[in-house]
Amino acid sequence: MSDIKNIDQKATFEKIREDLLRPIKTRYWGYNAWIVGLIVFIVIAFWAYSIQLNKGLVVTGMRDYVSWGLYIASFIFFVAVALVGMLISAVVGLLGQKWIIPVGRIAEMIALAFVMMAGIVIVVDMGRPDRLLNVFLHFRFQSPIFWDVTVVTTYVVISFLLLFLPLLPDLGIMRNHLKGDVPKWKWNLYNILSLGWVGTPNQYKILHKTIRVLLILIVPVALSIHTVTSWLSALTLRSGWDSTIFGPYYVTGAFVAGSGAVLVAMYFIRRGYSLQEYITEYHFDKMGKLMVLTALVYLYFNLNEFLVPAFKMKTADSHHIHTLFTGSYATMFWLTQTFGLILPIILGLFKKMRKPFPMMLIGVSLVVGAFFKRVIIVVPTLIHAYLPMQNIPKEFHEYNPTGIEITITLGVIAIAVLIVSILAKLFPVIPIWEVAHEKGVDIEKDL
Amino acid sequence: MKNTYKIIGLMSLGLLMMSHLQAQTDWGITAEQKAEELKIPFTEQNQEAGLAIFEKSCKACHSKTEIVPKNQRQLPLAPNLGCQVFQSTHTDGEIFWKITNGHIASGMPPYGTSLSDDDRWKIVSYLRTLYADYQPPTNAGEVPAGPPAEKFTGTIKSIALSLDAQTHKITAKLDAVDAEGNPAKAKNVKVSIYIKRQFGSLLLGTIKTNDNSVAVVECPVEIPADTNGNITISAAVANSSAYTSKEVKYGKKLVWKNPLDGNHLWAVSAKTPLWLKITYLSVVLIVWLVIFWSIFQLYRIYSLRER
Repeated sequence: MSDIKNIDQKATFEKIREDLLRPIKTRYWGYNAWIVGLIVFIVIAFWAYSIQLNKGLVVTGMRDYVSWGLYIASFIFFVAVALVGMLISAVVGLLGQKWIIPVGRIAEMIALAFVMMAGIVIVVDMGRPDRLLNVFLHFRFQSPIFWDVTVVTTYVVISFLLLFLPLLPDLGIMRNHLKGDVPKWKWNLYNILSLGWVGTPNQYKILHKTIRVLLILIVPVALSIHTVTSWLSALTLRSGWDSTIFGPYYVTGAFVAGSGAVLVAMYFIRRGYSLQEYITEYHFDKMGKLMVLTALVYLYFNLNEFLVPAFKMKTADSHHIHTLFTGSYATMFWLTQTFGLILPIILGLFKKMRKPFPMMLIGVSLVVGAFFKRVIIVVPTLIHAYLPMQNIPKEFHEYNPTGIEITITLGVIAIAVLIVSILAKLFPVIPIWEVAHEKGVDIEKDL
Repeated sequence: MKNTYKIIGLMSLGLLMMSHLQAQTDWGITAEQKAEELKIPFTEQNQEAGLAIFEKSCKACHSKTEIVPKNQRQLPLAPNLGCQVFQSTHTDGEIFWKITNGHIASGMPPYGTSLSDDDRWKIVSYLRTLYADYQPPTNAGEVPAGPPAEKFTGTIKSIALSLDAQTHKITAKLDAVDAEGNPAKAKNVKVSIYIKRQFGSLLLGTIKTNDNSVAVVECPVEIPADTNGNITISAAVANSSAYTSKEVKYGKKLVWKNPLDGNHLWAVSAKTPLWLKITYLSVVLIVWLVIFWSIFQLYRIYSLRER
């Protein structure tokens, strides 16, 4: 190898390193304000939760019939968004798509933060969280809820590994180059986490192999996490839930929600950290196309999910479908379908729309739509019980989330966003070594 | 204009109601049919046979026949046939042909094809027992010879029930006293014999006692019994407080299978179906083996660090 090439490589690598480590070294007022805002909100949510803990679930809008409300809807929402880690890194990555390199880690951070919150929100939904251990002490192999606990836990661990393993070379770089630039505790953290990474060919060999195995493993695990989540509903006879396509319906819906979340995160990280050179319009274009693809598949499943029962109109189903199409949930349903599905597909077809800013707006629309879509999946079915609803208080017939409930839900979302924000500040959001490798730097050398 | 519509609407409504009323009253019975009289002798035998048919074919809609001057019953819609207005305004032929042709619009099905002429006349003769002023026709066929059956006038003290498992016969023997309080034979007394079932009693038959105060009825073979192989038989005498019931070993013993026995999806965790347990445990084991393998790889990377 010639010296010129060597010097060239070194210069390229130094630039990449400096660019991508800059967000870690620099202090941003906007970022700090954002974190403080989130924490304030979370504190308020904790106050609301203390009221719920004290008085019980009666402070929520949930009653005997609608016993799953915003919390379970956000549980499904969190699991859905978390699935994007698998979509981007595993499905698209294993297909050999190179454009996902700067996006992959953002997706993994979102996945880890959201799947952790999925577990938390279940505890929030429990009237007696002190009895949480009973789930594990008195489990039943036959219970889909137990399967869900299993897959969520497994997914948390694999997501953590898939975030941590590709971070190792970057941690080695940070340990070598950030001493003095960051507080001592931070450097110590990087030093410990880097596991003595020096980038020998052997270490790279082990790393590549392990990541590859985990990427293959996460595909079935991620599919099962959301399929099992759908089974919590679909394994019952309730109209609106009693559907054979609920598994794929959830999975494809999750891909749409996750794509939206990644688009939003990409936009703000790119702007906030001035990473225009690394997350380019090309990446937004590609993500936009991926979003349209997933949304089209989801549209197909929506068609099946609603047209098939609506054509037959079995008595119980017809109650459910009329509630959604023309009844009390019609506004929410049509807004969700329009802004969470139809409009993003149509807009995403135009190249002009697949630019950063419009894509971010579409991403917000997708995420908000995805959340309300989960509410629509969970609540209207519960309103139509098969048992006669007689001699019960009026408020049992409907579900209106209370302020406390909404505050807690938003608080849990805020925690998820906070985790993503902290991870994105603590570690390089774009893998340095992978980008360098893409630009032709021989990374399997100790740099 | 508005009023015109109202008037037209009201008129059509009225016409509709009238046509409906018309349809309700018109059973299509000719004067000739109406003039017909009871075609079988008005005997106790025929009346009882008529009652049996009534209970099987008519009671489901018409419910109990109670002798009342005017039908004031709201439900069931099918009228109480013991109503004296009905009895006095209907001829024998009218009742017979109403049973025969039915009247779909008002809900009465035709029995002309499912019950024979004789059976339908028997129903008429039963219904006429509810009308004290009824004059049976004199030329209604031959009355069987012999003196009418004598009626028992004493008091039934008790009933002794027994079931012979070999002959499948239930025997009810009455213990009776006459008007003076001396032991007497209870002849021609109607005894109803039942078997207790889940939601009520199954009537095996209402039989008249013979000269020895004994009524015998056949018991169905292989009738489902309880889990101990027992059935409860009972006997009652009409217009008397005499009643007895008895548990006897008979019939097909019920073998109850507890749905919680064995491994099922709905059972407790210890009774998980084997396929589910194996699937769950093996999938979890494989996935977690890979995870632990990955964590071990982290250790390998760590052990390759520069010392």
